[in-house]
Formats: sequence, structure tokens, C-alpha cells
Amino acid sequence: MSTTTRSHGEEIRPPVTDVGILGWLKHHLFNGFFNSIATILILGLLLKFVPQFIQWAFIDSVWFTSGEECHAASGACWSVVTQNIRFNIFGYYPYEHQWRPLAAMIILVCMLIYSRDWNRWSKKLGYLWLAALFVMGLLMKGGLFGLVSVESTKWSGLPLTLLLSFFGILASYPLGVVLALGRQSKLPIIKSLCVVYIEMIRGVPLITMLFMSSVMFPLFLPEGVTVDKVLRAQAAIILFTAAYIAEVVRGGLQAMDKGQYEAAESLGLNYYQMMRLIILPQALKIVIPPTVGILISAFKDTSLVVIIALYDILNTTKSILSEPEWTGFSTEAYIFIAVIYYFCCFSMSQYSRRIEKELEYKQRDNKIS
Amino acid sequence: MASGNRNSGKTYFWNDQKTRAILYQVFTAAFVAFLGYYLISNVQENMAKQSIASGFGFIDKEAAFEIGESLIDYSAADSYGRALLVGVLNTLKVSLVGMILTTMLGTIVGVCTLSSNWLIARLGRIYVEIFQNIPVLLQLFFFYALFYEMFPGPRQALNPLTGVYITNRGVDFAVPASHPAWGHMGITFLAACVFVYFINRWATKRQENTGQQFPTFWVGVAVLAGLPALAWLFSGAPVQMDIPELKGFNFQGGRNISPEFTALLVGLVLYTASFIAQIVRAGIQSISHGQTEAAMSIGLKPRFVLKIVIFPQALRVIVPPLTSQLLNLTKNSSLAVAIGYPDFVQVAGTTINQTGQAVEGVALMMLVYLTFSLTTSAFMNWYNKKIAIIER
Amino acid sequence: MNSEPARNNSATGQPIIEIIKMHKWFDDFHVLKDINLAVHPQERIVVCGPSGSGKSTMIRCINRLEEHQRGQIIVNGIELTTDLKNIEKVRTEVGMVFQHFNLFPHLTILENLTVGPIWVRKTPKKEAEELAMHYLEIVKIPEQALKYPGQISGGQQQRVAIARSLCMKPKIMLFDEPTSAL
Repeated sequence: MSTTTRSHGEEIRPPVTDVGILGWLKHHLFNGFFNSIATILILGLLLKFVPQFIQWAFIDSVWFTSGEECHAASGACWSVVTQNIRFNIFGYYPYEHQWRPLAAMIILVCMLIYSRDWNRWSKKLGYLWLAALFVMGLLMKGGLFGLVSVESTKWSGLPLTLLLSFFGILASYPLGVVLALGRQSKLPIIKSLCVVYIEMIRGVPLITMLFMSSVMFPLFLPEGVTVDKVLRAQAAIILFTAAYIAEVVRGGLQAMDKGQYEAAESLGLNYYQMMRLIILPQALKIVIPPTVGILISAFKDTSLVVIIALYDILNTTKSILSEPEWTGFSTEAYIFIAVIYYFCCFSMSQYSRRIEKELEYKQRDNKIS
Repeated sequence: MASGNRNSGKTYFWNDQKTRAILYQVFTAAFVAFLGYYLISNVQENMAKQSIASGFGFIDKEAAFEIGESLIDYSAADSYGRALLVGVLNTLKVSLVGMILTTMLGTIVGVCTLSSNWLIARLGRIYVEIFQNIPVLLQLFFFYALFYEMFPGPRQALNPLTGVYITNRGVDFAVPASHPAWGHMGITFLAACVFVYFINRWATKRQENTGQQFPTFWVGVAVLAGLPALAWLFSGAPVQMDIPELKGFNFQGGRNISPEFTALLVGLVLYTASFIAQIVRAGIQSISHGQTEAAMSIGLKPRFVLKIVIFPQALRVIVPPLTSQLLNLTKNSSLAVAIGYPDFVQVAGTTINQTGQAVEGVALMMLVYLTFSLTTSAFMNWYNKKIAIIER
Repeated sequence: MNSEPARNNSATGQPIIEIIKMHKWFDDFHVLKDINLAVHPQERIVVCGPSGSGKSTMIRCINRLEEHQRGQIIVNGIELTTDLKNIEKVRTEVGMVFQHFNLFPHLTILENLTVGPIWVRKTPKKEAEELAMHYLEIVKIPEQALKYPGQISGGQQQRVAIARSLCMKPKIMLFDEPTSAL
């Protein structure tokens, strides 16, 4: 082996092309021949199309005009959104009472924001939710305390979308947990019933369930009994979502350490106590992120009620576009509700990412301690 | 507990584990059976009152409705059975084309999100974020509306490439005029596939025996492209094209893809690709960098690193969720009904409306999609068994 | 890492590894400062230092798993530059055993050993397998040949990793703390 020497004297800096802005550019945009070409090509395309889009969406656009003036404008016609905003959001809910669904939605959003931190989950919060649900139901339906009663057939727009997805997930959750436990059960008949149910539902598109609710369900009921369309669609969404929840919960149950079951049994807990006190609290916690994933797809899937002629926010948009004054502006109108959907789904997925990180930290802490 | 009998002397029968298990199950089964009986008797009663026929007798009756596009000959005089078959074929058509395109796009985008080029990676992620978070039905409506509002009528048709016209009545494009040569090319292509298979076997054998490598991939490409080209040349090298031409109010000749099909395909592909991109990305990321380094440090060339070390491992992670996304695409193709593409659900829906036989109609819908799903999961189970990495 | 002055060996002839005034930065962090090193055939060298001092980085520069930014590295008479052909040539002559072994989990032990000889050295499969069995016998685990890496113990994995490198008959072996994961 030879000598090695240590250089003294002035601090040697890395090559200028490897640090700072130049270094960033070299490593992230111009590393290699093909990447450089790709970068230039993409920048060229962006320079060509982004200004065009900005011109269309903001500079040449009109915001608060009638439909006729819109047809004359060369840019985007955001008037289709602004002029119809109340119908778009609230649909056929009586015009003078539209503050009620608005208030209900605000309560819902506030409750959701308050409950996002699981350290706040407690019995008290549960009661608060019950109270909030009651108030929201009262606001929507009316008929008490001097509020005019509004038929549920009039419920439409964004409140309907939120209602269908929120209650869809709320009611399907316990059902899904029961199905998951059933599928894990050692009793052959219960197990096979649950497996058949879960696999059958997961094998068909939601639309067949909605068809079932709209054309087949009335035949199931004894004569004289009718259930209104919104409820039927709600039931279909619940039955559908439950199967997916069940699979997610099953994943959580399977991920549990076998020692937890054995420890609980050796304490002398019976099946019900073991599940309620030991297994489910842990299993349900680790499946929060995938559950939020189901929540997101349930939220998106409520848009399918368009097909059975319910007026959710997508369908109110469609009916605005079918008016002669506003035909031809679907791009603008659809972009508007796409932004609403995007905002809701994006915040949910950010939430699930955050929880995922928290769970990772927790696990690491547990391992260290 | 069963063993408790010996110790405590007296055990109530309802505390016995086996008895309990049986009781629970009997109760559940009885409940389900009763519910089923109740619902079925209600259905029968209601159908009798509304004088709706039951059973699948309607399958042979005349359908009496037209279907916009079909892969097989169909007219309103044909039976419901044939109409439903047209629907199944249309569903399969859009699903198969969609699966191929979405897998390609999803893989490309997924690889892009991992690109070392910041701009490409960023654009890939933006794509995933946007298309994943907007309902697929909204996307379908958007693309369908785009056709009707943005694209001109046949007289001012957009002409992006020679022989391709985009109008609000769909996409018209030129196809080669019919000639026996095309049939010959098809046959030679199949023959070439078989030939390449044997070349591959021979090359593997040779490498095992002598260690020499054979450029199977490039030879394969050459054979697959070359043999049909030769067949074309020897069958008279036809160059006649069937070009769409504006006649009256619409294009004649060539091939037309309807706006419904295009909007459905574009919407499904863009939506599903955003999920597949994430799956591909996760699959590639799941392979530790150490694997690549180990492979490189024994001197493997980059393409062998991919072929021998990266791909086989990544596929194990990617294929199961990929299949379920492709199945989702098939299920989502039922949204065709919202924009008027005659897929199976739409045809079945029309059948229900005309015959009133909702139970049979919905049952058929479920049956068809269940068949797709069960076939897919059978494939999945087979695949998972085949490739499972054996671990302790 | 600063290279420490080391003992001067009496070895003669051309060094097989020669590092001359080599520098490496991770962004602004100067990991390797002016490294000079010459290793002759048959020499065994241990590099010591606190963790994070750049031992692994230096080793990884020798088969170019990391790029150096200044100075020269000459391995087996080939200078490491951006020339991919040269890098491949160097890597076939340099074996490396990793901290976590990095065995290929989807291949059997035997296949792990024959990948290199078959695809890099173009050895017939039968010969490659004989060679692999030979080295498995040297590391004393021939009976594990048809198992997968997930089925054997950490110590056995380490031996497989060493055997995998030996199968390439390398002129230089690099060990990156291969015992720390045991």
C-alpha cells in the first residue's frame, strides 16, 4: 500500500456545476442527453399552451353576463357558473329556504374539520355528532320549530352528493365490519354467506346496484309500501360500499399479530369482548388510510346517481347545460364542478397521507420503547 | 367449553361451544332463508298484479329496437338474445381496447413520476393527482361534450393527419381497401409468432449449452415485421386505401369511430391510467436500490439488470393490483349508458324498460359482470401461485 | 473523510487500485477530501473510521456505484470515467459483498450464483452450475443450493453473497461491512 496525504490550505469547493441553482438544474433537468431534450421539448409545449389557456380562462373570459353575451365572447364563459350558482349547488330545493342546506353543509364541514384529529375522538364527540346529525336532518327536512317541511325528492345538488356519500360511508362502516368478522369466522355457514355477499358485490359495477334499487327494489316490497328514490339509492350505495369496507377491515384483522388474539383469549375474554376491546380498536386504526381511500371512491361514485335520474351536483350541471341559453359552455361548467370534486377528494387524500405518517411514527416509537 | 363437561359436572347446553356454533348458524341461515322467501313471494305477487311475465322467455322474442353500433349484424327484427349479445360484445370491445391503452399509458406515466428529470416527474404527478380525484363519469361527460361543442361539423372537419378527419360525428380515418393480401399477412403474422417462439427456445437452449447469447429480441422483431411484409409483397403489394370522403352531410368510406365510443374510451383510459401509474410507481419503488447495485456490481449490463433482476420482482408487486384496476375499467365501462354507447348495461336497461322484467334483467347484468370478475380472479390465483416468492 | 496516512508497504509493481487526489461531494457536503490510495495485488486492506466518515462511499466509488467529482480512480489499469463500457469491464473484475447482502429474492441460491457467469462471462449453464456448486462447497452450504434466500439464515446468506462474488473470479473483492447485519 502506498502513501496517502492530506491536503491542507484553501477549502476546495465542488465543481460549480454540481451545487446551487446550476447544480439543481444539471441534476434535475439536464442530466444526460435525452433528459435535456425532453426538458426543452416540454418547456416549449408549456410555453405554447399555458399562455393560450390563461388567455382563454382569464383574459378573454366573461364572468357575470347573460348567455347571449357569452356566445359573443371569445374566451371562457364563467357566467354559466356564476349566473346559475344557486341552482347548481342546491338544485330544486325551494329557493327561499336554500340557507338551510347551506347551514347543514357548514355544520358538516365544521364537524369533520374538528374531528380530524383522533386525539379528540371520545364519547362526548359521539354525542356531539348525534346532535349535529339531528340539527342537519332538521334543517334539511324541516317540519319542526317553524321550519317549512321540504320533501326529500326536492333534495338535490351538492347537499345530495354530500348526503349520499356521508351516510353511505357512515352506515356501511358497521355493516362492513360485521361482514369482515363474518368472513374471518370459523362457522362455515356464516363464513360462506359473507364470502358470497362480499365477492358478489365486488364483482359487479355500482350501476347494477343502482338499477336494482330503481327498477327491482319496488318489486321486493309488499303492496302499498313505497320507499322514495333517494333512500333507495342510498341503500344501494350502503350495500355496495359495505363490501369494500369489509375487505379493507379484513386486511386489518389479518395484519394483527396472532399473539393479540391469544393474549385476549388467555385473559378469559369471550369473542365479543375480545373483538370490541382488543382486536377491533387496533385493527380499525391501522386501516384508516385505506378506509379513507374507500371514502374517496364512494364520494366520487355518488355521481353515478345521475344515471337513475337523481339530481346530484353533476346532474344539476347537466340540466343547466340543457337550457338553450347555456348550451355550449359545458367545458366551463364541468371544470367548475371538477374543481369542487377535486378539492374534496384531494383534502381527503391529504388527510389519509397524514394519518399514514402518524401511524408510521407510532409504530417506530412502539418498537423503540 | 366442551371439555367443561368433565370438570364442572353440569353445563347448560347453550354454553357448549359446538351447540352454540350450530345454533348461531341455524339462526343466520333461517333468517337469510326467510328474508329470501319473503322478498321472492313479494316479487311474485307484484309481478302477477302488474301482469309481468317471468322467466327468460323474452330472450327469443323480437327486440324491436335499434342499436347504434355493433360488431355483428343486428337489426331491430332480431331477438333480445342477439341484442344482449351485441351489448356484451360492445362491452368487451371497449374494455379490451381500454385495457391495452390504459396499461401502456399508466406504465409510461408511472415511470415518468420516477424520472430523474424534475419536470417530467412533476407533470406525471400532476396528471395522477388530477385524474384520480375527479369522478370518471364527470370525465366521460366532459369528453363527450368536447366532441359536440369543440369539434366542427363534417363540412369543416379537422384534418390533423392525411386521411384522418375529426368531426362532431366521431373520428373518420382511412383504412386499406379490401384485398386478399391483408388476409395473407394475418396468416403469416401468426406463423411468425410460432416461429419466434421456437427461435426463443432454441436460443435459450444454445445459451445453456455454449454460453453464447443470441439477440432474440431484435431477431424476433425482424421476423414479426419481415414475414408479413414479404407476404404483402408477394400478394401483389396493394396500396389502395379506402379514404373517407365528404358526401352530402357526412363522410362515406373509411372507418368511423363514434363519439360515444371515443369519449368512453378516452375517459376510462385517462382515469384508470392514473391509478395504474401509482401501482407501477409503487412496484418499482418496492425494489430496494441494493438489488440494482448488487446486479450492477457483478457486471450485468443495464438491460440485463432490468430483465433478470428488476422486472421479475416488480411484476410480482404490480400484477395483482393492476388486474384489479383493469377489472375496474371493465366495470366502469358500464357508465357507457350515461353517454349512450350501447354496452351491455344499456341494452339490458332498454330490455328491462320494454319487457318490464326487472329481476331477470338485473340478474343478467350481474351474471355477466360476475363472469368477468370470477374469470379474472381465477387468473389472479393462478398467477399468484405461480410467482409467489418463497419466504420463510 | 480525510484519508489517513498509512504504512508504506514494500509491495512493488503496478498497483491494481489507484486513487489519485479524489474528491466527492454530496451536494455541498464534502464527503471525500483528497483521497490518495494505491493497492497492489495480494494486498488486504481494512478501512476504519467512525460511521458517516465516508468508508462505504469510498469503496462504492471503486466500482462506480458512486461518481467521484475530482481526481482519478484507476482500477486494473482502467480509469473510471463516464464511459459505460469501461465501467462494465471494471465491475466484472471487482466483486462486492454488501452490508445487507442484496441477494436476489426471486432466484434460488444456485441461480443467484450463476447469474453473473451466465450473463456476463457467457459460461454454459452446466459449467456455471458446477462452478457455483464448487464455491458453495467452499463456503460449506452446498445442500442449500435449491432454496430461496428467504429460507436460509443470515449467516448462510452472507456466505452465499461471498460465493456469488467469487463465482465471477474477481481480481478485487470489496467488502462493505458484511458482518454488521448478522
